[in-house]
Amino acid sequence: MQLANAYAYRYAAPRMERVLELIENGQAGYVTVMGVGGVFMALLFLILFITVLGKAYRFKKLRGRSPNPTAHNPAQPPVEQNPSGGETAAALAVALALSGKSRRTGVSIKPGPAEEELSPWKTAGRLSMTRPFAQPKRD
Amino acid sequence: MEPLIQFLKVTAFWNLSWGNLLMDAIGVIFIYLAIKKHYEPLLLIPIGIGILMGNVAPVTIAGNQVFYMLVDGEIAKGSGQYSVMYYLYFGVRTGIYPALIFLGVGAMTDFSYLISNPKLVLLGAAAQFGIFTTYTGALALGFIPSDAGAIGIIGGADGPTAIFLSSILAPDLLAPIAIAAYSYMALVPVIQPPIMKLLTSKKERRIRMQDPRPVSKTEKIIFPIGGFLICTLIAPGSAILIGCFFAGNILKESGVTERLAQTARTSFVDIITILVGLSVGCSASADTFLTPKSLMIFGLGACSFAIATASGVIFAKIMNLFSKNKVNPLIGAAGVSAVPDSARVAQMVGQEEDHQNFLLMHAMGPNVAGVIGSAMAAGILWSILG
Repeated sequence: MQLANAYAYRYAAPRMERVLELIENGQAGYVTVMGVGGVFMALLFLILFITVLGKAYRFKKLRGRSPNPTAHNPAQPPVEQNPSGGETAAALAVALALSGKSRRTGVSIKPGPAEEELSPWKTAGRLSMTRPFAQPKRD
Repeated sequence: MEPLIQFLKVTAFWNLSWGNLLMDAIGVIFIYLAIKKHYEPLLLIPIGIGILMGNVAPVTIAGNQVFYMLVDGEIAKGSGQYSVMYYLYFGVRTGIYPALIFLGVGAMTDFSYLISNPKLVLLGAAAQFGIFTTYTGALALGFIPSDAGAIGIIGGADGPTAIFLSSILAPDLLAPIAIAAYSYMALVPVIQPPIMKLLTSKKERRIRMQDPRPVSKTEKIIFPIGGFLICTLIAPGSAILIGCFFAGNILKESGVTERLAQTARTSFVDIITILVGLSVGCSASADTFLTPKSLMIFGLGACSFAIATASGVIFAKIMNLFSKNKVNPLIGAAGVSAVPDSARVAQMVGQEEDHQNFLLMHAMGPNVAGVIGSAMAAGILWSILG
């Protein structure tokens, strides 16, 4: 008990005095309020920003699902209702030939991506163009 | 006898002190914990080796000190130049490495979890209470305000942020602060679970959270830009860390700089981690580290970390009082920014109660918010105390 009292007198009391002094000065409180307040304010603004961003995304998505298809799709060229018999026969022949070929070889034929027309800016940024030791593409 | 003494003088034994031996033992413990217990091995092994290197006593050959690990201060006597570690430590002293680590961490970070459930950001803010409570505690223990600010940041559980702030506010205390911060980051799986269990009931630990909504690529690209502007307008002191963090993230999310993002999150961040670990370890020489101040810093750091964990959990419980969609309070502990360890701990503790409850993705939201929050806190402390 005496030891505890001695400790309190020698160490704890001066420190408590110092804490009270700091609180009175407002130094500790000022930094704490400014610090916690600043962090909370920034993160609250961040929440607001994320919420607005999410709402804008959902709005855009809803607009994308607009019930009126003509609103977003450009007018399609009119499809001929009664194509000539020759054209139909040619299309069928090609389809049959392709399916037969794939059955024989076991290879399915899929349409490849259309050759994209690239601007010089896009081609300059391509990975293959930026590699110093890239092998040139052979045709 | 004389030749033996002459020989001993050219070995490190001649100048070796008990303090050096004690520090060597600490270095070996770090390496042991990393290898045997897997506590943050990427950090603890370089730091442990650095401590061993920093505690080799100066070797004198023909009157010249040829191998001197003094990382900060005078030119090694006789050699006429600074040691290699002095130059490596330059990146720590000037705050270069922390910013570069943030770039790499940004390139690893996925903000989807944060964007999909924005209210969890508040848990990252709540966990920063630890920093400011410890600041008051450090003032009470007699530290000057700038030192107290640097000690408080240990509660952010973010090694790079602690190094960044202490290199500015308290360069003399950098070694113990950095080692305390990294040690507590490594001890996240040991320190956090008892606090989390103490503050939550079984029922609360079993709370299952709603699945997050899908996040578009556009949102992921716009978020770091907007986030940077918001954070730096409020705390310009955090511009370096936050800027590098979001810059790394834009490299990842833009989709056109995958090569840069890949480098930033792998080789680049690994190189910086090795340099930070070795140079911080080397700076912990016995004469600078074994002081009563260091012990107080370790004690305050532990309090800071515990308060940060507790305030995150308590804030999550308060949020549940007002929220319709309940939050599992365990993810509040992930508000300290030890990424991703504290999120993993939340998952682990949650699964002890319910094997089918997957909290990891939910915990990543506050975890990432904690990184932003601690960098913001560092910026604010720098502005006020710097």
